[in-house]
Amino acid sequence: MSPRVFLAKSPSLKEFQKVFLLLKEALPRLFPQAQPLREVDERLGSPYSFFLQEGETLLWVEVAFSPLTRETLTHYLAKAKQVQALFPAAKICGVFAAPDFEAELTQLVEWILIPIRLFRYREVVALENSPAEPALWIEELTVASSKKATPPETPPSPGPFQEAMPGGLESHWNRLTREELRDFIQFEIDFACKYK
Amino acid sequence: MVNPDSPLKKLKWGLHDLSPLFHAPASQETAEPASSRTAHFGVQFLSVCVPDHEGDAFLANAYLASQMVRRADLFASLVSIAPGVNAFSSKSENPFRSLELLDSRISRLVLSHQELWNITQTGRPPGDLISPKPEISQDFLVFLEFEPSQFRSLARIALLLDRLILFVQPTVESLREAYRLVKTFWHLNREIDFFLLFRGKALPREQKEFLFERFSLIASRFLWTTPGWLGELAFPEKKEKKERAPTSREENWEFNAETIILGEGLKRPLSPEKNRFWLELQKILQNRMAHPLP
Repeated sequence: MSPRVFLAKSPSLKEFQKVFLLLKEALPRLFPQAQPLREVDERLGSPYSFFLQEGETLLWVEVAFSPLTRETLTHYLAKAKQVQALFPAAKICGVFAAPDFEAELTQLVEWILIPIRLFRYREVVALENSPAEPALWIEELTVASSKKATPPETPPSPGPFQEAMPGGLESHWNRLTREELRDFIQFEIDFACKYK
Repeated sequence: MVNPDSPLKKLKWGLHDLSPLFHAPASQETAEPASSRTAHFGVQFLSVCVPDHEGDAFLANAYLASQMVRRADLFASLVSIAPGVNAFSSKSENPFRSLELLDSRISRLVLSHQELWNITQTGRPPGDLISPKPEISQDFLVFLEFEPSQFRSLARIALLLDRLILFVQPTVESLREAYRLVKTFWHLNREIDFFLLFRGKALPREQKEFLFERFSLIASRFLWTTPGWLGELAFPEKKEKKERAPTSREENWEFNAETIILGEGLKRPLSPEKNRFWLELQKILQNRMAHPLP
């Protein structure tokens, strides 16, 4: 089951800074062994990120205030290189929290060199025990994604004057192999690191 | 239907008025001297795809056709493979009334999937509709226009193609869409040559080189094919906007159409499907010129 954290009296999600503080309070509950990292290099400073230390693992938390897309992900991946450079001995784990994620992302992050965990946060108005209070829920998507992120694309079957593709090519249509996908993700990362 | 004697025709595709493509002022033309050309390739079958933007295939093919014929002594025909069109169902004596002349050197033919199938079907009785000798002696570009997201006839179109031009934005995402298309067509016909042509935002040369080289690396690694490079070309609607001057790190990369115009690297002779299609198209064109529509 996806981990969930209930935060009473949470503000509207429009007040992002407050949400950020609540997530900063909430996320350590999901990682009970983790301790906040107090001293962080200025180069990594961001009003939307923080770090937790969990044994040898460094949890690098980024909170987005809008749905995370492939394009914005590349921005974070460029930062991932910096994090790795500054903590060469640590095992880095990216923890990205956002109101939502582009459909493909849960699949894509499986192929990034450092582990990435995606958490969706959302405001719910009514809960069983406190129907009048707004609340913030956090759900991990990367756990669920291992089941199946997106349904397979099924092309229409050939009709008159619609030739079937040879060798069952329909199943390959618009689909990249894992290796191809990995190369394109690395391509995006390298381009973002170099030019963005 | 356009009267070939009347040069003014407002051709629209969606919200785009394509007329300027075919009647551009002389000052915009960048024709290279025809005398500099040495090759004679006869006919080549091209298609321009915009993999990250469905619905732009006609605009892109028409634009590239107009750019090519301005640069060399070429003729071009846009062949639109259009879903829902079925000229054979018409009771008209001429089943190819959809042929129109967009310009003195560019024609357009709309074919249904059924017509495409019939024309390219090998094994038909000889002499059926086909004139035995090709009559058009000028170099000719046939642009096959279709939406690749539609599966209909894709395998048949792939059999006809010599070259597929991917008109992409200089972004990794756009290139990934292009790669998917390359992969599909490469599986359907290993003889197709692929080309990249960048459109859209101006980027420093170094970035464009990086994008092209990495794309080529992936294509050669997985598909054993290396795309060619045609430079960059703004989409027609961008021309009206005042473009900023390139910075010192940016250089305007020209549309490098030489490989296409000169027919470099074309695999010959024509396959039976291409030959049949080309003979049929010549017949249609000649009929059209001999009997201009009122």
